[in-house]
Amino acid sequence: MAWIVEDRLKQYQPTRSEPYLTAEIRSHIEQKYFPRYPRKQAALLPLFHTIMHTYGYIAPQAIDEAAGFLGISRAEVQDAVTFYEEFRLQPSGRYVVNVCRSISCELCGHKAVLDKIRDVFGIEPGETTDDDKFTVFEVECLGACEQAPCALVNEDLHGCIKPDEFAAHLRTLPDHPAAAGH
Amino acid sequence: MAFAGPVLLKRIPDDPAKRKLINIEEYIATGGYESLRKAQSMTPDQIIQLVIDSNLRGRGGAGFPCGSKWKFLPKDLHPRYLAVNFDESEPGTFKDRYLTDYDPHILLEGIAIAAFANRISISYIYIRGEYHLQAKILEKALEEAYARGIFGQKIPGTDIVHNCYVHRGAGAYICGEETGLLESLEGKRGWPRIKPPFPAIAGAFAKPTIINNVETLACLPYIIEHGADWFKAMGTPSSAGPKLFGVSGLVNKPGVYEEELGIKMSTLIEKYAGGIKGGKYRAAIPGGVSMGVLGTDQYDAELDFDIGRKYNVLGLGTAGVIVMTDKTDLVVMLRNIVRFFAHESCGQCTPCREGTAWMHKMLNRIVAGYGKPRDFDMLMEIGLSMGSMPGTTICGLADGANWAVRTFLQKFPEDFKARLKSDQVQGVTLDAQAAAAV
Amino acid sequence: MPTMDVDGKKIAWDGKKMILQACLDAGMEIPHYCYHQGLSIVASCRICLVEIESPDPKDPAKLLKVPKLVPSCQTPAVDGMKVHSISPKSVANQKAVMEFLLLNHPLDCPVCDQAGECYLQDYSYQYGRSESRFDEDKAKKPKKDIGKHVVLYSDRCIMCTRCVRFTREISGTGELAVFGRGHREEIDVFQGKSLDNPLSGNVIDICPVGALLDKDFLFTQRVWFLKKSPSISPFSSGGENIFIEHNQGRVYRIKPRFNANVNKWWISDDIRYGWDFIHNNRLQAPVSKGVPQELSAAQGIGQLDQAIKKIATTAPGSTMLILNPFDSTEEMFLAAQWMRRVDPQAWLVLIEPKVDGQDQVFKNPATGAVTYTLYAEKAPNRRGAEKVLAKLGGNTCKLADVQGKIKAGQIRAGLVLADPFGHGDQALEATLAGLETLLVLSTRPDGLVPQATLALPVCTWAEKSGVFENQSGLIQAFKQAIAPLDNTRSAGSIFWDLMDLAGTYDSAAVRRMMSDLGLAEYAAVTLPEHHEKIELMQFTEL
Repeated sequence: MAWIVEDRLKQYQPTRSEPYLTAEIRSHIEQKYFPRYPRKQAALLPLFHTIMHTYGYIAPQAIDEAAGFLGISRAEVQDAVTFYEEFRLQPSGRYVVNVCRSISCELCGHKAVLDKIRDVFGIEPGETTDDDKFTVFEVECLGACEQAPCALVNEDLHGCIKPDEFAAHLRTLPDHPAAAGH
Repeated sequence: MAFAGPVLLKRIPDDPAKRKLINIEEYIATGGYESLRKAQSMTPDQIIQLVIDSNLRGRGGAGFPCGSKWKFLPKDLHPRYLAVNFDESEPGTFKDRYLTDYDPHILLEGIAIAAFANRISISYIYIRGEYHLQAKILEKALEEAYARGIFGQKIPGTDIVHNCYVHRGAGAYICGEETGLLESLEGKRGWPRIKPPFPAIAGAFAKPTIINNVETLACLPYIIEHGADWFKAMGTPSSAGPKLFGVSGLVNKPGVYEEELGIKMSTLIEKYAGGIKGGKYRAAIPGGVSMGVLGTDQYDAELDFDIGRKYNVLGLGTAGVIVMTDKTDLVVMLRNIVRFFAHESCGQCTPCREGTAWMHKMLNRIVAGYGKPRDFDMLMEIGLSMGSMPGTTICGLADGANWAVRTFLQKFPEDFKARLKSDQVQGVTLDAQAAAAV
Repeated sequence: MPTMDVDGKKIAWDGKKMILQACLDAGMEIPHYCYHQGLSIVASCRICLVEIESPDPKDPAKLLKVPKLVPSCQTPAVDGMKVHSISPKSVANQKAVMEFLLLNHPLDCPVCDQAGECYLQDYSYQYGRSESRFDEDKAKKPKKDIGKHVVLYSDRCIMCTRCVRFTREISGTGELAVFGRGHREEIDVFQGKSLDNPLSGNVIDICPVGALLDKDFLFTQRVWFLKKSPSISPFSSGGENIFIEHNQGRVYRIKPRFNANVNKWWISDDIRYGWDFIHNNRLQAPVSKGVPQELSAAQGIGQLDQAIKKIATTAPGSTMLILNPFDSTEEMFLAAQWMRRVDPQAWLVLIEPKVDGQDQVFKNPATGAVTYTLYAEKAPNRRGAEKVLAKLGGNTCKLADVQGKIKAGQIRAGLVLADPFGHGDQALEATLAGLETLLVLSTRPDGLVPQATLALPVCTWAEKSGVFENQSGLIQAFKQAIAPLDNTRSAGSIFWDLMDLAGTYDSAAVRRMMSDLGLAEYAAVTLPEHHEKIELMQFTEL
């Protein structure tokens, strides 16, 4: 059946020889989050925030491990994970630049910001630079409309962006972001 | 009308240079947590009645009377939960974030008062994932509050220990819908639930739950402190109290400004937001994109909960005013709004899932120059077919799309008709930009 | 009984029901996709929306018009309520939902298996538009191989989520889920954890469109040529109700038949896919000592008759009849009757059915209710056989004792009604190795046939009518679906002729005989009616 393009029967490729859910992550979730909710499944979002923060993306192997940890099926975990914008299944650059494209930011010139990023770094929304340092995405309202146009660079909000200054700032960022505690 | 100065924003100076994050010591030194103490000397019924008497209506977008919502909780069912809706994802809305940037304890005090009045076991602050800084501010403020016994203690007069936790979302507008929020809280995809059962009966984890917006809860300490009459003296008979108005778009001083409900939009823009920037007023969205648009002759519209009825918009919503001028391309703005709804639609029910995507593709085609005359009526028809008000969808996201499309087309038909001249037949290939997937 | 007025028709119901269910039970259809009586209610397709006028709680005689459309699958039916499913508002919504669903739906009807039994086709004809007004590019989604028996054509999927709810509530395995958000979302499984549970084929039944398809049935037959014959599963002691769907003497697929007390809407995969023994590996000519014989039907049973009588007349008590629990009770009864007529001391033996581990019970994880039981006993009619043996009494023994009796020369001739699956072949072959005269009635050419003195071809359960008695004592009749394969006949007809009964084999007549002899429960059993598709569609003048 040549027209069947997706074969779900074959196993996924593991991407890490050790588990994604390390003992440290497990005990962090077990001790801080499990007691907060009547059901383990409710710790899904905190767990995947931790995984995103640690690894930058969510591999099938991480979903597999999370399923056993939370007590639900793997498909149910992936069901929840793929619903949310912030949980990405593909790796991205070390700095993720989320440029807001909602109405106030479009009114105040978000296109100029994206154009500048394209000119300086050579990437369109959704793409990553060759050195894996920057990925740029367009996102919906970041809740900082009074500072339009704005962008989120990893966890830092930049408001009232002037394209030149912003691009210059990005170039000054260290090669690897400092690991900030969550 | 008796607005005598900032209430919710009283700890946030007008001069940006003077603003800072207020910690618990400063909060208490300026009268903080006094209302909680006063509330704990009242009975829950007294507090609920006070909130009803004050006419406090929800500040999250729907404007539902807060006290009445609290009364839906069944008398003797426990445990009960409070979900604080800090998902603030409606474009044009940033008031809750602004408040928390500087004065997080006002929210915590409001939560503690609501928890006392409703015998809440756990309050979950559902904060959107993109608010990284605000989540950290809240965690720190919670630590300070726990250390002072505001949380983690038995509610006086009961055996119920009240805890409060931050639960971070992960980027989904639909998780601001109350039942979408509950599903996300439970660790599932944020698909809104069908009602009945209502959250007050079976909400988070199938237990009675009340869901309140940040600003609504932030009003509680002041209502306890000053009483219902003081609150009602501000605003209008249908819309009591002070309100945080967000102003953004083409104005000189975008920001959050507090005034009483009922203030004219023109006053808000001229007196507080520095006036229109770079052109003449053409159109404005009164309360987040879901509400639709106000026309050129509606500049003086009163910003209160009657605005929907009087000016043909959905309502006041979150009071996030977005200003557009005669230099703005309104077709592109509508495309922006419809793209937002198509992107954020949860996909559960047919009209919203397919309809918003269809309108988005249609508007892309129109913006790219291939609009056909019949597109005007098609957009109107598709828009009107969806929404929880006609009953054709499960939640109100589709109503937002409905009202945005209908008001733009009704109030600015010339802008659209001028673009709908193409006589190209079907099968037009669009360039990559215009056809960009949602 | 409470009643409500639906489009001018009075609909009555009992108990607590939703409007849609009450209407369906009364034979009136309101269009629906996501609603299924066996699954939870989600009200997400939005085509079942109706306008209602509900009695005022303060003054039940007065009807209050509800201003918005309500989903009939989710709204309880109330005594005195008025429902309008063809009012202009309802019709506008039905048209809108149909248009929305067809926006991105591929024009696959000519190549889609579901054509002829597709909700989208049916409702489009009744409630939709005749023309597309969509001027944009359709969204394309991939086709996926998601399980041993199931393929998923995601571009045809209308996101009713019945299949997802099935794997979460009925099989409890949770393999299917929705990935993504908004109009790009797709039903899918986790990579490597495919749809792999014993009830997987049911998702194909419940999918209203041609998204989930049966690999086994793919492209083999157009459904409007298929005739549905009501039958009972012969694969286990559950007695699951099924339809055998066939055309021109060939079976194409097996589908479940609703029975509230036995299997509800579901059947397991081994029932759904176990039927190829009907057309493959069939014995089609008498065989003697491994050599095919040219014998007419009369000659064949004449030889059988002779062979038994030769031993029975000279040495009574040295013949035996081995029954297997796969034949209908009537056949076993006739066989035993005839055997005892020829040799009143003939031994009657029942082969114990194969038991495959434990019964597998499926539960809804949320409520704990049992949704389906996969019985471990892999034969449909042990209880029927036991009843026959108990009724006739006399010499009976277990299979284990037979070998000893053969060795001791106590048993010299045996007639075996072989099972169609070969469960007990090895044991039987060993046991009967030294038997002087071995007569076999078999559907297949293997098993005991090569060593048999004479083997006559018989037909499978799909080619005859009869009754099975399931594990809870329920006697259910199955109806002949296809004509017996050439040169084969039912075991029942062989014994009917041997007993010199008038006319041709009639299972109802045998049941009457059984009732007369004291097995009264067989008097009431009748064959199920031949099922034609009930036309629930009412064509509405719009």
